[in-house]
Amino acid sequence: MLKKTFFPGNADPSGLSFPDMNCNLMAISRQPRAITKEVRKAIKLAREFNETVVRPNALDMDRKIHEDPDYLPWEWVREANRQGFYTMWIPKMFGGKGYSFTSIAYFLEEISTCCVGMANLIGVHYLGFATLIAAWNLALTRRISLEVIKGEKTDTPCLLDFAITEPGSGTDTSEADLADKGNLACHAARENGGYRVNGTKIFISNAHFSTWHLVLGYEDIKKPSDTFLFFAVRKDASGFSLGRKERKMGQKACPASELILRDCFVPDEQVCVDQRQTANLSTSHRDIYQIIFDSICSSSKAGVCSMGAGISRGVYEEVLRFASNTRINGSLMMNLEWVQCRLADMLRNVAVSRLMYAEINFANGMFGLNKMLQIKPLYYLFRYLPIKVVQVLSAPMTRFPVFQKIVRKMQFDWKKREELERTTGWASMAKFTGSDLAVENCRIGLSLMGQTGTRHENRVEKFFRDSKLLQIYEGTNQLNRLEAFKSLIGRNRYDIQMFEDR
Amino acid sequence: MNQTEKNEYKLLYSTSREFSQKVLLPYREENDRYPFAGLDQTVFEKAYSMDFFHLWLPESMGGLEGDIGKLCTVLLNIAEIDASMAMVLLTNAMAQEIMIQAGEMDRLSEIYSRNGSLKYALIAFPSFLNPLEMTPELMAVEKENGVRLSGLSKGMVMGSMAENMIVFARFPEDPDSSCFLIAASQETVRIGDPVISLGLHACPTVDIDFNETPGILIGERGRASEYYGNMYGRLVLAGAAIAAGIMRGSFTDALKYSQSRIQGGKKIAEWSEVQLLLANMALKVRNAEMLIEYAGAKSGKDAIHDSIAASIPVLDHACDVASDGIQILGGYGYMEDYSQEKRYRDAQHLQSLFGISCLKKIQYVKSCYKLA
Repeated sequence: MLKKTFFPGNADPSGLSFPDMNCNLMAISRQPRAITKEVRKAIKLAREFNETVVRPNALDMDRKIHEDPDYLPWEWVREANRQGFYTMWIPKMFGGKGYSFTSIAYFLEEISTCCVGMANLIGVHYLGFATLIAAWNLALTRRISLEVIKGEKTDTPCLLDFAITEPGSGTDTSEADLADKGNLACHAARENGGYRVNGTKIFISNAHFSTWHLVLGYEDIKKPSDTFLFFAVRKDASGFSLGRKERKMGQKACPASELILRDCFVPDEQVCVDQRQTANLSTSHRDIYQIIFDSICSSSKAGVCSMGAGISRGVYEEVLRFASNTRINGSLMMNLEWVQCRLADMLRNVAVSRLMYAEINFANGMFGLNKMLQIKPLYYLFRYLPIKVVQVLSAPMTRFPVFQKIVRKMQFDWKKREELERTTGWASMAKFTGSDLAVENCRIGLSLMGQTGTRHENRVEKFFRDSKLLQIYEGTNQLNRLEAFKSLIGRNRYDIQMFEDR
Repeated sequence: MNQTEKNEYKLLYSTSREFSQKVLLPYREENDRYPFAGLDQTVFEKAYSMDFFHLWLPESMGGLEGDIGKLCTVLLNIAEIDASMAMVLLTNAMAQEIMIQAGEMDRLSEIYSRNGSLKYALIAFPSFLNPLEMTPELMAVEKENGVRLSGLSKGMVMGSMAENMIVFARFPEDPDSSCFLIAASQETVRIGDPVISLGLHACPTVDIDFNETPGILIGERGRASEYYGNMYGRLVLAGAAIAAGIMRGSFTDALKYSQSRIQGGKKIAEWSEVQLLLANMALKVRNAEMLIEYAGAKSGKDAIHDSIAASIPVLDHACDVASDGIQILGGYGYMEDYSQEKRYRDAQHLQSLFGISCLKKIQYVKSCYKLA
């Protein structure tokens, strides 16, 4: 049974209420106009990066990793670090450049038109960062952010990743209801001053590049959602090691690896959130598990949708080029009606994916993780003040625990359920739409190009291999459909059962 | 079907399954790896010793007299394990059939009478190029000492291994292209590196550059499209059999995994959304098997028409099934250690067999107009 233990909502259970379906209209007057400028700037930077680094090397990199599956594209990570992409979306209060999270989706779409693996080398870093933000541990966020910023200045990239999947549990981890029935094994035993952790995480994107790993563990593996904790492990921690690098079908530039924790001690200062930190809140620890997860995923799934839009666009552009230069029985392909209709389908798929991630961006700005930083006075204050001044002004927030308590009260106890459900539902719909359409565009592209499309040098076969992973990570598309149902359709209906199939 | 034929089918079925499981399976992962240079020699030799390269030939040359049903049985079983090997055999059959259609039985017989060497049993062919759709880049010129070919022939399947190859080339003055038989071991033949391709990695494909290369005209000048069209009608079902093999392999592995993987406290096979995915896969696999069996048993005028009608949807469904096969395994399905991702690539690659898939559909409906 779907548990409804925190604030009851009064939203229309059909998922068709005005605020559910019109996040864009609601954002018109409330979203700072300067975000549009930030989006334009982010797109411009991405295009320059594509022209100089990604597009000229994407196929070679893919081939190189075909040849040597253990190869790690450090040159791309270093170049992204030099360009400042790893601090661009860190808020100014933590020392970053403070771009709005909205603009990262547009940035990732651009990069994905050339190589979604490269997009992930940047995007996954912010998935780790979103974990810190969603747990609202301001002191730890500041500490890690400063290390990322130092890494940029010293040309030694400091990346973050997000480690939840285990050998026996993939789908289980993202829903409290499933986690409690699941086979979770990353155990964190309480000790004086911290936790002693044992467990294995798999398929962790960017792990071989990351300095900090944001890990999900459980004090009692029989009651995971009631005893969960997020913690940060540094790559040089005793008891921590990297296991094998997976051999993936696509997205080869972005490594997926195994993390091994054997009696790894995690001091309290590196715990993002645990039972002790939420004990004084009225929301249960179990519900906080779901709030944190949904907040992280509402951001990251917008990213997956935008990467899907990027692949859809990349394929569309290649097919357009092919159809403009190829003749069939003497006729230019572009002049054949069936080709024209397929190209229209492909363009539609690009447009729909973009609209979907734009809408979840609006939802996140109005109701989700970006809400606080998009309140107009706060946004403009942070935007126009120099980073150092913002840091001085916000220093008390990150240093004094009372501020953290207030923020957590706001984010966990005062969080409106319908707002969380709206962002979760839209994020899930965006994720499965963007990824399904990316795969569809690849299939249309290959069916139009025939043998030419199957050759590596023509890029479409790489897009095809890359796109499939979008339907799997950040929850399989099957799970995302269930989450959309739960958040937008099944809410407030007490006769609805989730994850109770018989 | 009489008892002798039944026994032949049974024998072919068991031989091909045994070959797949015992010979092909151990090499599958290794064969799929970069630089996509082809199957392990042991596999080739074994297939040759089992007469798999002769299947499509007339009985007088040790074959099965062009029995499509029998060829499909073998290809389906082999493709269930590795579609690349099945594609190698089909390519050989396609080249043989072009020679049969061109009435070059003596030349074909000459090739297969050279004793004992695998190299001579292989005939390279551009299996994914349809001369009915696109004009070949290769040009032919009549000279005093015979025909000379110059230019590039792209996507020659097995071009790096075979001693003989059949190519399409065009005389500048002809509206249609012609077929030529070329010996690979000539100085004017420059064979490129293996093409990096989406799938069928162990079925090596290369681009071949010809420079004033002597070629033997196969059949009559300017009739390549006709020979190709007839060959397509005779062998299209064999492509569908490879697709069905991929589907069967994908479904078998997905079913097995779903009965052992536990999520949400129970086997994923017990969740109804997973059951629906598996059901869609199972139905498509069985439909494919039935279509191939039905069309394969047909003879006469309708046989070609029905073979095409059966094959096109099977090739499409193979892509759906292979995609769902990955989805059932989740992250594991995307990894090269499992065979699902390979099947996904192979199925999509196979869709371009005999040319662009949408054009094949349009061609089919045009043939319906004619019948009507």
